[in-house]
Amino acid sequence: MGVVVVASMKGGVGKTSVTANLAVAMAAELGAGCVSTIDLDPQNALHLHLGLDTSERQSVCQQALRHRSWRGVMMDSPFGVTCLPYGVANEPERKAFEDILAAEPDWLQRQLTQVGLGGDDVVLIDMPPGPSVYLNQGFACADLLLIVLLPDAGSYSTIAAMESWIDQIALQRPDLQSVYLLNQMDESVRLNRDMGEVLRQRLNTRLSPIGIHRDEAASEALAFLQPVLSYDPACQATHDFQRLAAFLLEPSTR
Amino acid sequence: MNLRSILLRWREWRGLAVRSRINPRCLRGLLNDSENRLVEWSVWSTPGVLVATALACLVVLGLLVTIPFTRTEQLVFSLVIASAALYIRRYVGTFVTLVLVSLSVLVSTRYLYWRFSTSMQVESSVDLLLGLGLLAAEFYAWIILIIGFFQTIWPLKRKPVPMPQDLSKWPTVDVFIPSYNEPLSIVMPTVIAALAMDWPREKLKVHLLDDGRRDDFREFAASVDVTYMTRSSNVHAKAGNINAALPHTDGELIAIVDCDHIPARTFLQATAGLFLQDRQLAMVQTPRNVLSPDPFERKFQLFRLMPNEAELSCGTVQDGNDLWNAAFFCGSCAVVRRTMLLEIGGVAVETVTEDAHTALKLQRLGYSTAYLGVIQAAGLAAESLSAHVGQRIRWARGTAQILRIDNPLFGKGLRWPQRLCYLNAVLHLFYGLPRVIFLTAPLFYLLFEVHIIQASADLLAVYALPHLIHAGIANSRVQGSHRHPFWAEVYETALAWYIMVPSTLAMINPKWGQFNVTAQGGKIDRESFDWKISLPYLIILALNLIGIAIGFGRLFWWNSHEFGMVLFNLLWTAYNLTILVAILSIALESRHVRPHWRIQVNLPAMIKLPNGRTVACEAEDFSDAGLAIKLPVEFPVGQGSPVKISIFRGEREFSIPAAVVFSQGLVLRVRFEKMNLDDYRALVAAMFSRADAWKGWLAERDVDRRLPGLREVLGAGIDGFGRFIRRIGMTAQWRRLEIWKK
Repeated sequence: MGVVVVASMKGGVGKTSVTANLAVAMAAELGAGCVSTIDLDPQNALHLHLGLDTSERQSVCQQALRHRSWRGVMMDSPFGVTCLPYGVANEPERKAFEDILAAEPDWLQRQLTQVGLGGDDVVLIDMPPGPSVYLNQGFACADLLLIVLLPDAGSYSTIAAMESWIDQIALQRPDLQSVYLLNQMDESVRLNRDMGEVLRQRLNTRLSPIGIHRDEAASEALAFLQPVLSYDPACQATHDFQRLAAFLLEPSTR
Repeated sequence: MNLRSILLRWREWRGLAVRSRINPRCLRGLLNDSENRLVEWSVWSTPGVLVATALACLVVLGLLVTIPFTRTEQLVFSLVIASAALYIRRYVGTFVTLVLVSLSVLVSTRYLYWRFSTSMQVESSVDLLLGLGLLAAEFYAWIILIIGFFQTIWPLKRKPVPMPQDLSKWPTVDVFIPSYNEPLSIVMPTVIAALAMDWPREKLKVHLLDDGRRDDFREFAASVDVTYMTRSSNVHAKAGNINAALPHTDGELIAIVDCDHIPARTFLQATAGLFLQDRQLAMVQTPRNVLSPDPFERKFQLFRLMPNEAELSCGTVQDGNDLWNAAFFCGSCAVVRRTMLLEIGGVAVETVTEDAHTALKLQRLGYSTAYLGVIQAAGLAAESLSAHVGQRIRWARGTAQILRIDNPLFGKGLRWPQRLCYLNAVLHLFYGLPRVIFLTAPLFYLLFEVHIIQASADLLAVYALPHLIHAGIANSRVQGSHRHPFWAEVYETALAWYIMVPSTLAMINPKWGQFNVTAQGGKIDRESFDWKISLPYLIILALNLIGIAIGFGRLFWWNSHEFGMVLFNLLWTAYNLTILVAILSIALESRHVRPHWRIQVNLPAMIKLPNGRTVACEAEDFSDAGLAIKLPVEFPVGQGSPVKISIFRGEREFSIPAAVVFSQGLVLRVRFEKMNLDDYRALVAAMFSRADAWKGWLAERDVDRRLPGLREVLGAGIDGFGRFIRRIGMTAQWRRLEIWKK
């Protein structure tokens, strides 16, 4: 498997929630400790989805500014996934970190190699929405690009930009696979249903056959600092994440 | 067709041969190798060798049948043959099937020959008369066995022919959906599913043929853009209804789908290719698959675990008939070529089985018919026992009428294998009397000490038992999962009496005997014991019980000198009792109060609750009114709360608004809310018209095993008998109450 970069052109599509839940579902398949998550989104929310404390200073940003390795600072979440939060950073700190990223295009790749991630293990990296230095880092080392969409007009309008960008990346990384994921589907809402159909037509096989349903349990789960898989094991979103994990982990089905 | 080409054909099919226990070890080995060498032997192509071999085999068979053996010799002979059969039945392949069938024919013929030559030296004329009756019944059973083998030994197992890439070559199709008195709720899904079939829109026309002249049907047809047709009279029932629509339509192919058979999306694509491939092909029949259990299955709760009768008649028999180009039309789930149908003057109207007669007429003109054993539609079965019996009576009457009006045995145009297939159908008409004879034969000894078989019990055992065992082995081999021996027995015996009378009447005069359309999707709202249907069996049951009682007296006191004979007759009676009790318990039908049809589905589903939470679950059964859902965990849902149900079919999801009607433990029942047409289309598409809809339908089916069959019959029989006694008690109590009131 390897490195999965979770991205989107637009904010608020549930990218962080997808990263966390997919990681937990994959860990349930592969075994605890086989799945790591890295938060490269300055919103610094991923660890909350995985039930981890926010006051932690050991983070991607801090370690980078101190030129230290990630070794030993990955946190074990109670849900079988290790997590490295982005960290709380003030404006100058964030700027400094982004300058490092801009200067060293292979920074992320080196960090991953140093801690020995990748290989048989799975690393999921949460990205901020839209084009950024973070996303460029992700593109350089990703094995799979998971692009999260909502079944609405806003998401649809971003596809053209996303695709031209992916085409450009493909010139340097022809082996990079990308899969679009429909999040928060609700087939009983007319607009959702129609947009879903339009997206299916447009993206065809590039759209994952398994989407994630809109589910109140997913929102409630975050309030309880849990992934939805442990908050409500019987709900549809849990079921969807389990199937998506199995689908992504089985290369022959993709 | 010479043996070589037959055997080459067999090798083609061998890989597909169905058997109950596939054991990879048995796919290879000495037997299969030597049989391969035998097939490839170059001698077969020399002229005359084949005929000479066949003659030699006949001579050997004749010798083995007629050679007299002592009891011990016969015992050894039987043991050797039975061991051989039991050993080789583990091997797959049609060759082995042929050997098993040959052994069965040999042993059964030997038994019959022995019965005829040795066991008929009777003492009195009463013995002779009754003995001849039993012998005739056995002779009949033997003929049925032999012709049945001929008919089913080599199922053709056709595959669909793919349609050409070029859409302009696809024929135009008219879909006829005839209806007479069925409620709209049954007809709607059929029409919607017919419209959703995969076929070029401009080449597909759906016609609702309403013989009931109902306004709601007309409105519905207009709302879904389907042609509505009706006529001023109902002459010739369904056949007349279809014929009346022929002049108003012009499609090259006509698909006939009963209004309660919901077609799958693939129905036309799977069948039409055959017409393009074979220009002489007049008709393709697909299985009449039944989704709701018939009375037998409902009674014994064996639905989908045991093959049912509809499946047998359209299963092995049709597949076997297809080899001999004798596949028949079943009235629904079939496609016919318009030109050829018009050539015979439309669907046959002379008999009550317009379907079978139509196929016969087509075959007489030299056209071929085909059977495609891939389920393409889902139907609702006959509901009550009386309706089920009514349906069977219609078939029997119709066959008798065909025999009288348009005799398939001697008339023009048919080849001899086709005639043999029709002979089997005709002979089946007469199975009522032999059944009754088998049910009562042991009583003549137990009650009146009439020796209808003049042989000692041990001699009878060494002849009769191998006959029964080999017939069982060969039949379960040939019919495989299509038929369960004990259920077949119960079925046939239950129907014997009712088929005998009307078919005999129709033989005398084709106009005699009435028939009623099977009620489908109806309800039985009380526990009804159908006295009229079961009276003859009650009488025979009573006689059998008396026979058992007297039999014990004979066993220990009066006839202890012929202990074996008494025991033999007692065992025979016990077996008959088992079957009778099973039949009676079916007659005492189980409560069936749901006003709608209901089918099992087992589909992944999702419930969305009013608060936005969801539950991933499984839809267990489905009707036009609602769904039953199996929850993974207990989940409190208030009665009446509005929910959204999503059904998943592959990558598609269909969402339907519903309300909770019942919730207990892990079971949740919901009722569909009033749906608009779009929602209804989605529902029908989700439930029925998917291409994979019926895949795996048979997968859970039990393979043919003899013992559980017996256990089930016994258990259900005893249960039914208990209920029967209780009911009699209740009736008596109620009578006393009435008298007391007066």
